[in-house]
Amino acid sequence: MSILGISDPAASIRPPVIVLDDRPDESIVTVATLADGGFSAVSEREGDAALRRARSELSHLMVSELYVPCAEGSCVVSVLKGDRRRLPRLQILVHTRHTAEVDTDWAFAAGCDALVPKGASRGVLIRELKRLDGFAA
Amino acid sequence: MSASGEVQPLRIVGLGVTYVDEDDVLWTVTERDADDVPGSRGPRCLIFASSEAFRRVWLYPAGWRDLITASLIALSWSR
Repeated sequence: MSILGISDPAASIRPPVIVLDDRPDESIVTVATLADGGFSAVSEREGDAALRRARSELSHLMVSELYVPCAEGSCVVSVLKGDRRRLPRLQILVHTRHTAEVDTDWAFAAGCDALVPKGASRGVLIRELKRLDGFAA
Repeated sequence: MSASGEVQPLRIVGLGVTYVDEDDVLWTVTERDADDVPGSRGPRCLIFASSEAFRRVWLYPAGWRDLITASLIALSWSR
């Protein structure tokens, strides 16, 4: 935020993108892809840990697998998107190995803002995340 | 989501629209009921779907089906 041309240093400090994936090998690839695209990212393997981190860091961006449960519900995506009071800016991109139509329907019913199948190119993932980053700012 | 907490597919409203973008990627746009979506920003939304990516758009004109391709492409980048 800038007031009368004076920038607020805190506003330029963005929390890292949370990458939630229960498969470590796939999470490593996603984090590396985001780094190549200029994003700072941290990985979580469990829904509850991602939930705590998103709330404590007031995260703006998350890249999540589908069907990851947490203590507050069957899907972290729906729990976080429903928490607009604490996370009004959070944008969630589902990056998933589950690519059937029913899976896509499920992701959007759960509240995700975008979805990129894991078979898509790295460039597509970065392009779609940058789109959401513009909304989160 | 349903009252029981189960996730249900979002009902499609009316006809969808297809277009091909500047990279020759085919996109299908459908309007969906979104009242029960966690974090919903309105009663309905648009879902832009292609083989490589899917986007949700909350803010769009009532006559979105009549937009020319260039306008639909621009709309797909919006919120």
